[in-house]
Amino acid sequence: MKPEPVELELNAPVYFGEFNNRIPEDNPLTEKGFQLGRMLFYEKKLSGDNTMACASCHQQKKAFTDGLAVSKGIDGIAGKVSAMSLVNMLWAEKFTWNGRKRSIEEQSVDPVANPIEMHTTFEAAIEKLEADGYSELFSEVFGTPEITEGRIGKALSQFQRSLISGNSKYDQYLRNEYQATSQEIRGMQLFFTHPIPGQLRGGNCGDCHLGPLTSGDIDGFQGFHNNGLDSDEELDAGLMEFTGNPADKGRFKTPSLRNIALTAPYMHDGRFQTLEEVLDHYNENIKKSETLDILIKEGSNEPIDPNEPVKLFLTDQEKEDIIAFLHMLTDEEFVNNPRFSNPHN
Amino acid sequence: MLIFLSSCGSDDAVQMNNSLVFNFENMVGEVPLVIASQEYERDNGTFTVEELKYYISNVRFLDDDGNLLFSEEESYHLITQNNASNKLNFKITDLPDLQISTVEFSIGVDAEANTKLDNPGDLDPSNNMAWNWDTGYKFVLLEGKFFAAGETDYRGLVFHIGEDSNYKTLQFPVNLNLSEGTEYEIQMKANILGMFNSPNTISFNEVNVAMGGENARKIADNYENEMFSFIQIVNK
Repeated sequence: MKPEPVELELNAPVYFGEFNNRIPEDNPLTEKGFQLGRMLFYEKKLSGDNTMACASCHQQKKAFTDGLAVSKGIDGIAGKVSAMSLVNMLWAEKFTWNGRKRSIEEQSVDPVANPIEMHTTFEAAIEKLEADGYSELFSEVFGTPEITEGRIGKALSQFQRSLISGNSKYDQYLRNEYQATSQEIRGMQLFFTHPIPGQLRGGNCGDCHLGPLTSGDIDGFQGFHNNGLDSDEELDAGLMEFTGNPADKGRFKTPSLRNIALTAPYMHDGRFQTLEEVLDHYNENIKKSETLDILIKEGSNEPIDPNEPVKLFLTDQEKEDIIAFLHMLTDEEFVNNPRFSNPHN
Repeated sequence: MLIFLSSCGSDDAVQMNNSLVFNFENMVGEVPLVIASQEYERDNGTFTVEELKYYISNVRFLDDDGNLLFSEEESYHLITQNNASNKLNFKITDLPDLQISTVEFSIGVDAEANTKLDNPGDLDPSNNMAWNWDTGYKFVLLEGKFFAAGETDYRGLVFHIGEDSNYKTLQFPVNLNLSEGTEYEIQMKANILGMFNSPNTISFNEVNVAMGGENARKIADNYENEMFSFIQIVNK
């Protein structure tokens, strides 16, 4: 008999926007599904030699990143990109840096069979899960005991959809529970302001890192931008790898900046070690290329000569103010929440 | 979700089965807007449009004497044209029988909703039109590229217009009789050149970015003036 599922209610700030309509109909959230997903997320048997789990590269204390520029799989082979923070994924629709995954379900199973990541086959992994008694848990969640790749993906997705970070100092400020310092307020205003020379000082961050989620536009690939890391010759393919469109070269997913102070190093290839280096990049080290985003190209606090390099012209004080705001996005409750921790311990 | 403000003589058996579709055709002068791939001439150069978005809000219908017949509740509709989306229309259903002489709507988000945290529907803050809680929403967003004469590199066109004072209300005279289950489509034209022409001439050579301030106000006066026009009403 099919057990009655206990629905899992998520709590999220109202200003993140509606989310129940973003949960796929064929994978409703249940408490048992979340708990199974959590076990699988921390399950090393999903890797070829039982040494790595999803949580190896997505560590809760580091807001589900691994502190490395690029991650290495079980064979010690480094990938090309940095492990992304897993946060507020309900408000995202294209996953991974180059956008090739359309759902969390699809993304979640990819590293298991990827030869440079967990490097196993689902056949082998499922056999190990069956031997470990997982069939009963799958039965409780899905009604029958079969363990399949699809069901593993669904359970992992339920866990990840529940990873909501909405109690940072910034959230507390928005709810009038925290009195922000004057520096934090200056940083917040700079962050969300597109500069107009002579009129408005701005840090030009919020045009891409939108609203309180500080993540990219979820409409199609509108949230993918070329943020001036490299010249045309050096530029990584980015979204073009997936779409084949030269206009998409160098466009990468705009990540959420939630808990950004915990997720160094930065950028898709982890090239920057500190937030100071990131601010220096946007302020004075933008490299021009054909697909450089116009919101960066036209963002400066001083009049821009189209033939000169793109610079923001922030003062050192303004850079520090923006970094103070970025630290407001750290959510201690999120990175310490026991519900998201390793259940096998 | 609908409010009735009309008081007809006999209110027995009021029919609520009429509907109206608003459809917006985005234009560049006399030609339809094509995203990214089409270059248009202006200011001795050419430009492309990557994205156009605007809020049509607070739709109301008036009678011959200017009295309010109907006012849509939670009336916020985001029109979007970009590489990912073409959302150019919205539909108002369950309308009673009405003899409409004026269609009214506004460009933008009214002051009350503009800085609220918990807005529904098309005001969902994750749709890239919310700035932050001090400044509220972008009302009209246009982004593109301008290839100025004699310059090898293009300039970005970035127009994000918001702020309460740039919320503009427009009225269009119509002769529209809703009765017994009619479904009409109101076809509107939104000419983006209207943002830059009159009464304030905006040259892309001088102004290719506006977000707030004097130039945003000028553009708002322009979109109030001649960006939107009525094409026709079609009986569907």
